[in-house]
Formats: sequence, structure tokens, C-alpha cells
Amino acid sequence: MAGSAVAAGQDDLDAGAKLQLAEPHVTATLGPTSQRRLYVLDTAFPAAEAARTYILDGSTGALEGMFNQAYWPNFAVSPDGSELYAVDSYWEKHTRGKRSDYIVVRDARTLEVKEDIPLPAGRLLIVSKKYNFDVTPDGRYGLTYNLAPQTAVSVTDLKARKPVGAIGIPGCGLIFAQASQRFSTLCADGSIATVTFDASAQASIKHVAGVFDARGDPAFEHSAWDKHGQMLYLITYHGDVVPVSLASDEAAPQTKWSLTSAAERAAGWRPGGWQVSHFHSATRRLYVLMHRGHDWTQKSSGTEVWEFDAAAGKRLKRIRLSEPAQSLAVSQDGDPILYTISESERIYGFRVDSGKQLYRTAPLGFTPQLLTVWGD
Amino acid sequence: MSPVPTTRFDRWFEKLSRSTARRSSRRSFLARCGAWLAASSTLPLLPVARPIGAAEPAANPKAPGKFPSRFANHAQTNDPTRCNYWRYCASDGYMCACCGGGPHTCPAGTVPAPTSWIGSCINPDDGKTYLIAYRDCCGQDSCGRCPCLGQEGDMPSYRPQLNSDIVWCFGASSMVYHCSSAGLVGLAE
Repeated sequence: MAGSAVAAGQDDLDAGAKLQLAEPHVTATLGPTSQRRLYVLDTAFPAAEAARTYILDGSTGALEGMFNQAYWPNFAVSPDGSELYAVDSYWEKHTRGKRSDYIVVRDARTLEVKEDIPLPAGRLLIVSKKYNFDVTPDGRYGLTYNLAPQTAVSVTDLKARKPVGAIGIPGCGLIFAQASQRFSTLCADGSIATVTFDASAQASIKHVAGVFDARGDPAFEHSAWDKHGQMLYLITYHGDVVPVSLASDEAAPQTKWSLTSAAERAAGWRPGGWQVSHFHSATRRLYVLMHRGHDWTQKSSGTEVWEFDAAAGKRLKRIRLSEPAQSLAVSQDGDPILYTISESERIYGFRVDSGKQLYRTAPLGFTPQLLTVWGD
Repeated sequence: MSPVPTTRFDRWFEKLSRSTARRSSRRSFLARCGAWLAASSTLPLLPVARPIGAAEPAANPKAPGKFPSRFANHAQTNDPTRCNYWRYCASDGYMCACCGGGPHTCPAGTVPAPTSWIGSCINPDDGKTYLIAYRDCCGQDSCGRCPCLGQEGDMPSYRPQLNSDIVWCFGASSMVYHCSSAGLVGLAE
């Protein structure tokens, strides 16, 4: 080795042949919340205590992360994109013992829990429906639906991290939050009740009767809610659309129109699925899962997605799905992607402008059921 | 909107459990539920059963086949592990017959909910309509076998008394759903 000493830190290997002998083991952090991020709530039907939310890159379908949820949960993103809200119910010994209900607040990028805000009045346990939980547009209040046995909405101050109180909504259900201290709810008699509340959850309620036919042609629970435009597009079992302005303290229904022509209706075309419709606010376009069936097929999967100009009540496009889908959502950016959950538990992505399929994922979880995009 | 007279698929909140001994907590729940119903003037006069023929209007009353029910026209009476078993016309969930129980038996480790829905299904063997008590078995996580999705008569959850997605374990010792049973109550006619 005489005369060939190698200086410290140097050797005679090519740089590309070196292996790092020790590397740090780190935890990933998600990028900033974007309009292309897709949240998939898996209710894990055959093992419901195993529910979770998956986080996907909506542009590619790549999985970015997940976190556990609890029994028949709900999920939402804060309006500013900084936090995720999971509405969960736990028992102290898995399926036994004392029950506790929370809004679990997570950091949207690290997924670390920031707070467990108790829901002292509990919440309704039901196969997860998106509008059993909503966040007011200013991000101040979380509103959760309850039936215990009175129907009520629990108000939680998400900024102060504390429960505020409960508001009785006799005969009504679902929550569409349209202002800082106001929400609307659908009622069993076909009316819409709009609830205005104060900082102590004291409320006044205004009913508008006869908005829809809750007995003969009820509106889907996952009707299309345009929070930005403050328009609720009620989609009925038979395929009608009842636009309702929720811009004030009293619902204002507008002229009803149909998703189908007379010939299409006669051929059996109708809406169906779980998350059966969604709305793109900037373009005011409505997306609905459609299939050919008969009465009482309202939960049957869609074979096509129909796109409508909601203002004109006119269909723009039919997108034929390679696999029937139970749920759909549309990203809220300027070049939107249509997402579906297929019967084989895969997530599909389509370009909205062309209808072209971009990707399909491998089966995801047990029973992925609800899709959430930021800003809807 | 049903292809059949919708009363056949109405599920009524059972005022009195006809086959299950009830504890005081169950009675307490039913009393409270009565308060809920009383508070909701828009709901039907539940838990009093409505007369046959007085419920949902039928948008498409015609159903092809022998019976006025699409379900009944494809139903069978021998195998309760299949979704077309005649009693399941308005059932939704995992069938207890596949989970160690039966149409009117909860599997070991679970308890029947003190509350149930009453539906009415046509037995294709005799053509008669029977009242069926749809009762969830509670206390273990989902059975996970024989998922059946009965949609006839299923209404959105803002009409909770006609919604099958709710965990109907109210008043039971556990609010955890395991499977769905379908016990006979009697003749509807």
C-alpha cells in the first residue's frame, strides 16, 4: 500500500457504484391539499369496525396514504384544506363497553390527530351518507345528524374545538350547510327546513312545503349540492331534478326538469347508485349515474354518467362506463376529472372534457363507498 | 312508485314486540321513540300500522308475472341462504341464515334488537301475504356472508321509518350490527 495511500473520504470506486450504507427512515408528509386530491371512504361493510379513508392522487389514482376511521363514519375536508374531519364512533372494548363519539381533527398533510372533539349527544349510526355531516362554508361549525330517537343536528365549534349544542329538526334529515350559522334539511313531508342558529345553538326554523314528493318520488340523499352557488339539485328516484336555491333563510324551489326524455324514461333510464350525483361549481354542470332498470332499482349501479348543463336543464354528454359504478365525484378544478367507484371496488378516473378513461386502480379496501374532493 | 302495491313493502315500526320478551330498557326506548314520532307531525301515524292499500302511490303499478311483486315472482321458499328467499322481499344486509342463525334466529353471541320493521311478503307457494318482522341481530361486527340488497320500499333516511340503512339495534345491549333476520308475524290478509 506504500505510495498508494488514499486520502480520507476518498476511494477508487466510481461514484455511481457506491451504496449508501445507512439511510434515515422517515415518514412522508403529503403535499398541500389540492383540488385533485381524492378521499375515498371505505365503510368496510363485511368488517365495519375496519372502516378507513384512503387518500389518492386524483390525477393518477396513486395511493398517497390512509387513516383508520371507526363505525359507520363520516368525513370532510376543512374549507381551507388544512384539516381533515373524521366523525367516528368507538366502543372502549372494540365492539363492547362504553360508546364514545367524536369529530377527530387531523392535520391534512401529516394525518396526525390534532384533537378529538366529543359529540356528547352521539350520532346516528347508518351506512355512511355524505350529508349526515357538513361543515359551514367558513369552517367554523361542524354539523352532525342524530336520531336518538328525536331527529337533531349537533353543532360543534371546530375552531374552539368544543361542542355547542343540539338543534331539533323533527321529521327531517340530512344537512346542507350554506352559511356560517345556517343549514337546510330535507323533510319527510317533502318540505325543506332552513335552520338559522346562533353561537349557543339556539335556532329558528323556516319550512317551505311541497318542494318535492317525498312519498311518491323521493329525492336521493346524495342529490347534488353546489355549496358555492348555494343551489341544491334534488335528484328524484324517477329522474326529475328539482333545483332549490338555499341562498337565504328560506328555501326557494325552482322549475323542475327531467334527466331523461320521454323515450329514455320509457326505455327504463333512471338514476341509481349510492353517491349518485355530484356537481362542478365553476361550470354549473351536474353529473348523474344512470342505468336502465325499473322501479325500486334506486341503489343499482350506473352504467353511464350523464353530464348536464344545470342552468339550462340540458344534457351535454353521456359517458359509458367500462364497469358499472356505485358512486361518483368530480374534481373542482378547471380541467376536472370524473371519479367513480366500481362494483369491483376500483377507482376509475376519466377526463370530463373527452370522457376518456385515464386510469383504473387495483381494488381498494373492502367496500369503498364515498368520494370526497376538496372544495365541493 | 313500486311495481307492487307498496304497502306490501312498507315496514312499520313495531309498536309491541310480538315474539321477544322485552326488558324495561326496551320499553323505555319504545316510549322515547313514541315521543320522537309524536314530535314529527309529518311522519305517518307510526307505530300504528297503516291499512293495506293506503301507502306509497305506485308510479309503475304493473309488474310482469303471476304476482304484483317483482320479488315474489322470482322468490323461492326452500333456501333461506339465498337472497330470493320469499321473506327477504324488503330485507337488507347480511342474512342470519348464513351466519349461524336462521330467518328467526340470531347467531350465538348476538342478541335480537327489541325493535323491528314489519314488512309484508307474498309466499309464492300459497299466494298469501304474510307479515314479516325484520329484526337486526346485534353485538358482533358484520357477519359478512350472504349480503342481500332488498330495495323495494326502501326510502331515504329522512323517512327513517322506511329506511334500511339505519343500524336498527336501538334498545339492544349493543349498537353493533351483525346480521338481518326475517321472522314470521302472521297473515297480512
